[in-house]
Amino acid sequence: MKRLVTFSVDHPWWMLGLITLLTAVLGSFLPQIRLDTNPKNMLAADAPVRAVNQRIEQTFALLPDTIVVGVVNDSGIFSKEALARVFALSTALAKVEGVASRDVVSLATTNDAVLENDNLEIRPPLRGPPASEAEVEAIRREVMQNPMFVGRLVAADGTATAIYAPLDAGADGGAVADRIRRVVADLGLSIGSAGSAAREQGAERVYLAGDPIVSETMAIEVFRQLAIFSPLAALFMFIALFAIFRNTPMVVGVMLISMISTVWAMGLHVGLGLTVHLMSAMIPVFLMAIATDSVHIFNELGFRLRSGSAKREAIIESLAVVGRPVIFSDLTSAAGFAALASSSFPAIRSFGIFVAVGTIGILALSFTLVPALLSLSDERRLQSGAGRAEPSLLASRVLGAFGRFAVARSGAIGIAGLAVLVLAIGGMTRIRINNNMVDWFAASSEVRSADQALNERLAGTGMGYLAVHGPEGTFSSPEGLRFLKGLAAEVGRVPEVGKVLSLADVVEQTQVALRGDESFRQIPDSREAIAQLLLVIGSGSRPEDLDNFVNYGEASANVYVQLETWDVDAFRRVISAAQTYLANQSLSGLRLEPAGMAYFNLVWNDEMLLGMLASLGWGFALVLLLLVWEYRSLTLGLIAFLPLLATTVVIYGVLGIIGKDFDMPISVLSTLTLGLAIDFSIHFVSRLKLRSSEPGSGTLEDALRWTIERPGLGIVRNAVVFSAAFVVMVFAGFSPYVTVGVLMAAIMLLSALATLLYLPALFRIFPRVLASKSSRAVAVLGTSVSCLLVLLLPAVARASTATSGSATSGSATSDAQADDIMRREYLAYYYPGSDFRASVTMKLVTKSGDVRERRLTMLRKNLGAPGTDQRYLIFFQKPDDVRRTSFLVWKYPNKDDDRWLFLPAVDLVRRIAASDRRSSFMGSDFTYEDISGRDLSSDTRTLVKREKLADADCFVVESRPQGDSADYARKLSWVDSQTFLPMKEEYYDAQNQIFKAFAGEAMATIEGQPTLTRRSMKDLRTGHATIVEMSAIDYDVGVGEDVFSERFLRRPPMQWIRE
Amino acid sequence: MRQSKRREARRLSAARLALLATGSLELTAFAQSAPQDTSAGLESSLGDLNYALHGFVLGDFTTRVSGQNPPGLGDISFAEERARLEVLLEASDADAAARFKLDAFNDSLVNRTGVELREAYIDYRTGPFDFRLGRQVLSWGVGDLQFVNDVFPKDYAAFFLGRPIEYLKVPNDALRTTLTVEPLAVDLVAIPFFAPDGVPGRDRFIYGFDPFAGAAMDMVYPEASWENAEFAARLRVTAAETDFALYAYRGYFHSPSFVPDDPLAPVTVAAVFPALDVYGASLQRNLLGGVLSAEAGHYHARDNPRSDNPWLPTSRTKGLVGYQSELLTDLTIGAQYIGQLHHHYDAYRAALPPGAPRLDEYVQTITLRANLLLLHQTLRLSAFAFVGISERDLLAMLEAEYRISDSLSLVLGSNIFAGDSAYTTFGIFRENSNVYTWLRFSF
Repeated sequence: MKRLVTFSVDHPWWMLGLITLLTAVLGSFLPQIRLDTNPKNMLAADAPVRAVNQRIEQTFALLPDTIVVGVVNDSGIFSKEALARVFALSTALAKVEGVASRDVVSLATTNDAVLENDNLEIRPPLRGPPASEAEVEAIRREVMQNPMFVGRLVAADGTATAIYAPLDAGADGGAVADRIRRVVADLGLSIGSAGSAAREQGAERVYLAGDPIVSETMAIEVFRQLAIFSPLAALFMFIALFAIFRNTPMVVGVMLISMISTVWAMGLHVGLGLTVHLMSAMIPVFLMAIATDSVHIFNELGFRLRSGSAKREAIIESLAVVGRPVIFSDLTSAAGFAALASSSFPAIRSFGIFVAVGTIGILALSFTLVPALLSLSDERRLQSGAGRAEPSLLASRVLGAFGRFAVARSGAIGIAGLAVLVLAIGGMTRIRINNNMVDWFAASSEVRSADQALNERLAGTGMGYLAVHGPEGTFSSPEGLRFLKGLAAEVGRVPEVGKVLSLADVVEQTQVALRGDESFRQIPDSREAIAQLLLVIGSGSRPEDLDNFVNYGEASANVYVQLETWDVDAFRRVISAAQTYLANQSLSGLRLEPAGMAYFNLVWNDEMLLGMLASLGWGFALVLLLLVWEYRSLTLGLIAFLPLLATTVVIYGVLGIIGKDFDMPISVLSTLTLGLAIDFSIHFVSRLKLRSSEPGSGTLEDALRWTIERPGLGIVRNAVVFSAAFVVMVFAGFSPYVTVGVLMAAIMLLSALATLLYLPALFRIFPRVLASKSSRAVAVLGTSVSCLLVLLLPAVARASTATSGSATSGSATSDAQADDIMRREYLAYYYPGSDFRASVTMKLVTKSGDVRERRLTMLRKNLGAPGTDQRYLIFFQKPDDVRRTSFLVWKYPNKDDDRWLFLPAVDLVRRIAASDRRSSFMGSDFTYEDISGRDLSSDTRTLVKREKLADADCFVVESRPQGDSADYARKLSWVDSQTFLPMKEEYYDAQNQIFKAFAGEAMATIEGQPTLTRRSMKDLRTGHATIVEMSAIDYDVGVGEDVFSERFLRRPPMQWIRE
Repeated sequence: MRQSKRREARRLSAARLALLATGSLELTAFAQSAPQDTSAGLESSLGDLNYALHGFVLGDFTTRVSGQNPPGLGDISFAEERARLEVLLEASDADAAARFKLDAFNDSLVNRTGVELREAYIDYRTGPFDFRLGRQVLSWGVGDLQFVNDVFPKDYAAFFLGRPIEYLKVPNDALRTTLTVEPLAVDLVAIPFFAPDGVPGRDRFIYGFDPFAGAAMDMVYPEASWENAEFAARLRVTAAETDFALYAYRGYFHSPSFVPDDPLAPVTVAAVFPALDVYGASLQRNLLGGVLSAEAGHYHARDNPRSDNPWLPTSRTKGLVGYQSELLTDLTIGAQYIGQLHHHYDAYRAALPPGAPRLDEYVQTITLRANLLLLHQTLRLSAFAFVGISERDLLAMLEAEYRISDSLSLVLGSNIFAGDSAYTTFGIFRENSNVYTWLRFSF
């Protein structure tokens, strides 16, 4: 390290050139940036909740993204003019590009059954601009007495109506919203809060709400405010730096460090082809905070220059003294952030990893860029700047007094600190984990005012579904409908629920309409009566109206839940109310499945927040481990860990006490303690340790006072500079940024305080910690325990994501016939014969036609009945560098395989990890799962159709993976109805794009067993393909179970396999 | 004079590497364009005997990057061309086979050309018995580049120079008998001829601490006699989804201990290989989607039972716990914790001459591994680090291997040594951080 510093001091231009080159290279990636502004996309594309939603939407013909267009008129919408405009708007909306025109729901499109002249008419209430006041009144009466309309389509007080415009699959919500705004303006209507003038004229105001609007606006807002406020914060920071140090080289230095490290981290992020999500957009802000670490170097240099050292030596010595804590604190921060990589969220993972990368960059720059710049800068400039660091300064005097106080009153401070901690922990117990994306916007913003206006008048803009699955015909029975009615009533008791609609309401409303009598608003007593009513509804011009509530066969029903809030907690209460109701039901065999946007937001919130917390926990554990390690003492490590812990606990405690929700921005920001609090305490403890080991440093008290006054000044300056800078964010119009501003300042000041006040107190209380290494046994124990923790980290992280994954995924229904087909396929493909031997050639072909070849011999034996345990022994013959390598697998259908690998070069048999069955087999396009079979219970299946494929009659089965057990969202398999071998398979991703295709290319019947002798798998994204051919196939050769053991792994059984 | 010779060697070697690279590329191109697969060696049969012929050509080059060099030497620490011929003979009517691996090499650094018989053995399998007689590589145990019960000789020089991993193992002339009665298996190994570890030489490595630098070295190998033969045994069983094993070994430390004739002013130093017994056990099983390994062994230093001879290694107990998991598809990570407790520590301390570097009583080490496979597993990136917690030292090994074609591989790597003190396992080599590259064409 010293060599590096010396080099940078002596050859500053070389070093600057090198850094510029590296920055230019990494910066050149930046233009390729791929932004994904939709916060929803942070959830992995194969997240189970997406599959659940997709399935429910398919079952009930629902459209996922719906823009709610609210038309509000304070003097009522039931007037000739107003209804005419609503009609015009509804008609115009249906024509907007990107809106699913047939599915627009409004007074002008939704059917209502009415008895007119003893004829049952099924048509929408608003069929054209009303011609007369009488017609208006008729419409008003018809609409207001239909509970299907009130709350959902019209406000109970008649001041508003809603038009629901679902988006076409894949349409861009933002673009559609803009088009809708233009349509609204063309009709002479005004949008949202800008309509105060319109209010006076009695005209309608139009509001846009709904999930696409919120997501879109959020994305724009996040980047817009980031673009305004992060440069502003940087500017303030540098002004504050300059004000304190009056030292241009230094300000330029810190500025360059933060900018260059940002270019490095983001360049690498983009260069690796990773999409930049909202989280990663925060990386520059975090790096700016961490870059202030270099203030310590300048602080020390100031002291040294003042005491008369020559510049070159002063620079080298400063870095030598501050070097160790700088290295250590940056590495610790980097490790802490890297721990976020344990998250199951790709967005959080990249955020953590690249903040860590940037932090390492800052570390490197501190030892290269800083000395180079310092050596280039004018000595007098540095001198004058350094003059500012005289201890006669007010800050130094104050710190001196502070130090004397902290050292003298250690007992009292200790007790006060303990009290604060206890109080904070008490506060933490009251923390409410919740997220409300609409509340992130300023109260005056369009999104929030629209949401408020619509929620006041209508039944809410938040939409969730409760799907109930039962046996066929459940929901054409009186009991089934009564169950739905009860469920709706129970869910309706949740205060935030505005409206609940189910098939029961549809049936009742139709019966009332048929009989023309309000007293018939009840569930019919017989199946026949219900069937008749369903037939009537279904015969209308829009069968979707029925499909939205019940599937064909009446096995599954859908309950609409409209929420007046975006609090994810509200839908959680809805689910728990529904589950409680279900549990106390006499009707058996029913299963509840929540879905819809509100459910997505709930899962998103839980996974993000809890995942973030878990990762943060790992970050803390890692930091503690590093501290114990660095200081070779459990106690000293714990003491140095305290400012981090205390800062976090106090911040969380305050949140709990003031009742602010613990939401996404806070959970992200609290990871910053990893970068800041830890930095202060490491500088303090390391310098104190160094000082007290110097000869003539006096008593512990003297050393403590010195540390508070000298490195302490660096800490205080760092804290002040930074909190000053980020306080500007309080003025942002977007609450996550206000949170950033307040939290940054709070974290800075609290951790500085904890470091300068409590660490001295603790050292006074435990004076021996510093001097003596703690007992060896304790250190050994501490390190061992921490090491074990680190060892188990990946496993536990995986296990916890696995369980959280399965907890949120509803188990879906599977079609029995499809299950049977795929089971027979599984047996025919993977289990024929009692054993099997073949020579296999695998050709890997790249897009450009390059071929690589793998050759192997395979032995398989079924241990019990087909479908149960199997053993595989595989000997590689080609390529030459893996020749004689062999592979033994004990396969179990319901748990991880046992796998062993024999490496002939070192004569070693090793067990290898087998959990990831999706990893590629020998670099081919086939996965381990493709080779040895995918557990049948990992998918749910439906039989799609029967189809002829090259003269073979095939079943076409769709499989959807349960949970996140596969890299595809669905798979279509063409299974030969005679042999039950797969002839073709297509793999689709979450965007429903085909990305992988399997083909059974040649089939032969060998010893009575139909066998695919040639098959291929093609990756359609990369153009890479693998062709597998089998020869010398033999079934039932009589290979013994004992062959599948280490003995034969080391040396093949010559009877079946020649090397 | 000597300097210029080195420089010449270096230039020659670089030129040869380039030649080898172009040659191999051409061969590959030929192999790929030829209709018949010529790169797959030669496999055929002669009467009742099947035979196969394979091998490789390897160019290997290592250079120090610490800027420090041994006195009178340049920064190249290894430059070698090597060709391997591998012959396999199999009887078609009996379960017997013979294998030979013969290397011819030209070491440009020390200007030595020679042949090395890496393996030459006969395999015979009958009933529950497997026999292997001849020169062979022996390994067991569950550690990842950490050896507890595997006390068979290793070439650490090759390892530190970044040569292909197979050169870490020094072959033994031995008889290995395996008796398998599933689920039990017993291995018995008799090694009549002692083979020492490959110790990093002073012509390729700079020692941070070299107390006997000026003294004459006298190597004292155990005599090849029946009494001096080494024996190793292992009992292996797989039960409850776990691989268990017990180990025993009687023989010698394979790394030399240096005993000076006069501790203060040594004239001759005897490099001796003290007697050693090892008893141990291991287990390995799947856990939470990864593999958990644990191994422990007790080393009984027969020549230094009370640890009161400061020149000889002491008795010790060594244990490791490791976990390896495929965190993401094609990304495997692993970590191990290794603890080593020296027995009779007080006696050892008391016997140590003043000023001599002292081992800790309890030495802790961590190893970390990450392996990433890319481009359809043709590019392998791996990082492995030994982190000495107690000794505060480090060896980080970074390696990238690209398989240019099925027969041609290019490896680039670096070994980084660091340490607070020059008296520790890796600290002693802290001036030896290197980068290396090798190119191999196999057929």
